[in-house]
Amino acid sequence: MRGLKQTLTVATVGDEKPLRLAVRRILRKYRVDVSEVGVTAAYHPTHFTSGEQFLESVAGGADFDLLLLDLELPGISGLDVLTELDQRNRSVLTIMIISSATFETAVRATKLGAFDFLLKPFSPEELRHAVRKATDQLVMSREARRLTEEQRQVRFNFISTLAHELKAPLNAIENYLRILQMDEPPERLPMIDRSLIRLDGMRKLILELLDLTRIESGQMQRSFALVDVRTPAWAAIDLFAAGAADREIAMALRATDPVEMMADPAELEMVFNNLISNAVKYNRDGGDVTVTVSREGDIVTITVADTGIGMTPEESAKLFTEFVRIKNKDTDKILGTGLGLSTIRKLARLYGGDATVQSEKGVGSLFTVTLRDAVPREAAQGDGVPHGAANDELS
Amino acid sequence: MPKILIVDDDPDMVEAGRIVLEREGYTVESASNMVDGLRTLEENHPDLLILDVMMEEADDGLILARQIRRRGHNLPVLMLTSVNRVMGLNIDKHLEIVPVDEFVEKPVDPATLLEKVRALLAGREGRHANH
Repeated sequence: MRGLKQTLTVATVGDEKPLRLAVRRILRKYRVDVSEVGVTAAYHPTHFTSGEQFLESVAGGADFDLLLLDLELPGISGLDVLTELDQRNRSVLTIMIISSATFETAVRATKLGAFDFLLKPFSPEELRHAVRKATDQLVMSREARRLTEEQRQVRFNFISTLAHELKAPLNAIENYLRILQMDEPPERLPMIDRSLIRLDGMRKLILELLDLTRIESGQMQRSFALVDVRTPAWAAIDLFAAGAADREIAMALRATDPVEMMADPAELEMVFNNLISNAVKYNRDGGDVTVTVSREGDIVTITVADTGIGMTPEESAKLFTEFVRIKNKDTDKILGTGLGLSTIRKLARLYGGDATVQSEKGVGSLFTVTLRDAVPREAAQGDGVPHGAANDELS
Repeated sequence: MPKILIVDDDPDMVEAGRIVLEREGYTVESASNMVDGLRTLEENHPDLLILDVMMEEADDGLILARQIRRRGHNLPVLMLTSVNRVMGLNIDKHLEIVPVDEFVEKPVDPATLLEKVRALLAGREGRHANH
């Protein structure tokens, strides 16, 4: 059965005319059914006589689904082309055409992301076979990506609806409790206080769940600017200063020079608020919280160290998983949602970095977040970013 | 004593507001949607409006606020909502788009609510003189 037709653009890069003509003739009439996802692929071949010519076309915005790349080219080699594509983050599913299957070349090409090889001279059947394999790979992986994306959207829509439905009753309950608080006899006030604290925890859980799914689904409004990373660090330290002072916890930021990066200030705030609030929450009375920010080359590193209860390696290992809270006698009085760190890791990965922890039970924990510039420095604020829903809402 | 209209689709939000405001001596009217809200406002001429945003539709409160201004009512409006935190937006008062006098995120504790109401009602005197 024929499925939905999809035309794949195929670039052939090689300076041998018979090869280019053969590819064109064979691919024009060729169809591949990927029956698993109901797609029939057809091909639109384009030709380039050199790697330079091809790269120029890519730089000009041309997009190809499939690349048939001769290793031996008049100017730069096929491997150079692959390297360039990789560096520009424009990788294309590639079939390398080679004249002798030297082990070394094959390994290098594979490392650079080549999907398959064709040994010259090849028969039409060999070409079709390679193209069929590549098409399966391409169509299936696109379908998988689409499904994952769709799943994220469904999850986001579900959770944002749920969050609104849950927030409204919480607000109503809180209002009544606050009214009761005004004239309740003193012996009952602690119960109202606890109820309000638990209510607040529930609200935080809902909001953090929303943040998390918003980040996952790409629905986050992001606006990038050149930020001195020390600024959100100071803000977060200020925010938790009173709570820390109550327990005689000393907080310090170690960074004398500006540490600049392209980032969304609100997202950096989220990172610091989360890490510093944890560092205070899980610290011992009279302990220390030490924050550092630094930049080395492309990578901005944030560390937050505490002198708190620490964790065993087993506990550390599962810390960044959604809804995981380390439960033991040291933590049973501490409220939390188990979402903060998993959100921080997702955020860090959006920036091409990561979030990790080193910890020793009873000694303390060191959280490290690495980030890269979200956009190149010269990019204008908000450029290339999905526009905020606020504008739609109000237009 | 001044008359206050609460427009909110959550009956408990209305009720809690009513308890707090009535014990201070204010008269409280209420409506649970945009259409009833506008009608009650034009029939009863309240001195202050407390307005929710997300009712039947997510932006009903904003639309109602704009309608009220277009129809020439200049009473102070206190917008009380959780729209920003829930929708991940950053809405604030704005002369044309969100024509309200105060924009407060829910929940607001009774003392703060009363404080805002008193301040807005006090400001109303000056506003009348200008109109």
